[in-house]
Amino acid sequence: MKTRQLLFLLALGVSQTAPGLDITLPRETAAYAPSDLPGYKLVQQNCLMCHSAHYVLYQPPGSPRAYWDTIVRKMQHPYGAFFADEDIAPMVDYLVKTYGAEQASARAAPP
Amino acid sequence: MGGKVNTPLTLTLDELKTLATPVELVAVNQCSGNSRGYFSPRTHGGQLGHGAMGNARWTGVPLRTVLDRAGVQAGAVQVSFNGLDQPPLGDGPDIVKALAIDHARDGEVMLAWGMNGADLPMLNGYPLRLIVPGYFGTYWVKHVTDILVLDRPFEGYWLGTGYRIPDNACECVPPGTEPDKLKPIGRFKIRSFLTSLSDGATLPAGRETVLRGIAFDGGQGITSVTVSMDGGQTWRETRLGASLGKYSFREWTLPFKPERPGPLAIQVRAKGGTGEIQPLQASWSPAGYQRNVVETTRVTVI
Repeated sequence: MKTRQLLFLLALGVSQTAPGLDITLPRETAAYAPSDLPGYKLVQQNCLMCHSAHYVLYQPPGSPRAYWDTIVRKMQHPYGAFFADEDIAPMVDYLVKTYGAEQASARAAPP
Repeated sequence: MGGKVNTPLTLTLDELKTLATPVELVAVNQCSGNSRGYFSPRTHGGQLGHGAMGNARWTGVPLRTVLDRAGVQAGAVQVSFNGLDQPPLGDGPDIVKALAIDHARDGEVMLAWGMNGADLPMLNGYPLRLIVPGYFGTYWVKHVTDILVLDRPFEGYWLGTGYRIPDNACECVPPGTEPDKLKPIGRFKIRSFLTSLSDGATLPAGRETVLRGIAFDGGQGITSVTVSMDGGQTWRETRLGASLGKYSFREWTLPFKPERPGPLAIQVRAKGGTGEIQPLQASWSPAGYQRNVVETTRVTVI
C-alpha cells in the first residue's frame, strides 16, 4: 500500500496534473407523476434537464394556475430554460392538475 | 483576485494554504428559506422544514489576509465572489455575490478549504468556499475562483433581484401583501429548537427525562434559552452547553419530569447578547425567508 501511494505521488509530481476527484452523486429518487396530459412529456423534456422533480414536489400544495404559470415563465426568463412559448400552457396545465389546485383529489401537505 | 487592488493575485490552493497560519471557526450555515414550509399563507419556493441548516468547523484563511496581500485601493466599496459553478443552461444568471468592503475585511469572513478537519466535499464547495459567519448561506459562495474588488456596488441577479427582503424595521409585511421596497438579505435572526423530541412523540408520565436542543443567532452569542409548557405564561431557564464560539449552534438542556398524562406543547425561546429575543408571533414576507418565531413541539404524555 505504501509503495502504491508513493508511486502515485511520484506520478503526480512528474505529470504535473491534479488527480481527478471521484464523486458519487446521490441517486435520483423523484419522478414526475405519469399522466395522459400533453404536459407530462414536456416537463420531462424541459424541466429535468436542469433540476430534479423534487423541486416541483416541494412547491406549496394546492397552488393555483397563476402560481405555476409564474414559476414556468421564471424558468424561461431569467433562468434561461430553452423551451418554446407554446410549451408553457400545456406544462402549466399538467403541473396545476397534478400538483396544484386543480388536482382530482387533494394531496397531503408537506412538510 | 483583481479589480481595485495594487497587485492582482493568482494563487494555487497550496499557495493559499501557506499564505498565513490557518484559522478555524465553528459556524452555522443556514438557507434563507429554511422553514419556509411553515409560512402562512404559504409563499413561492421550496417548502422546506427546519433541516436546511448545519453547523461545521471551517478551516481556512481570513479573506482580509488575501485582500491585504493584494492591497485594496482607495475607493473600493465592495468585493464580489464567483465560483466554478455555472447556470445549467443558456444565459441563466451565474451565482455571484458581493460583500461591503468593510465586511469583507472584518477578519472573520474566510476562504475555507476544510470542513470538520477534512477537505470540503464537492457538494459543500470543494476546493474553496467563502464563509460569511452569521450570514445566510446565499453569501457562502462555493468553488470560489474569482474575487474582484469593486469601486461601485455590484448589481448581479442574485443580489439585485434574488434573495431580497422587505426594507423596513421588521423586514416583514402583513401576510399576503407586497413590500414597497426591498434590500438584500443579511444576518441570521435568532432561533432555537427542541431536537430531542419531534412532533407526535410520547413521554412517560412520572419519569425524569432531559429535553435537549440547539440555539444560534447572527453572532451576538446566545445568552439564554427558556422553555414554556403552558402556552408562554411561564418560562423555565435551561442550562447552556459549552460555547463553540458565537457563530456556532449552542446546546441547551432541561431536566423535566412530566406529571400528568395528556397533550403537551413545548415552546423554546432564545435570547441573544444584545437583547434580541425570538418573537411569539411569526412575521411574514413574500419570499418566505428568515423565519424565527418561537417553535412549538406537540407531544403526548402517557
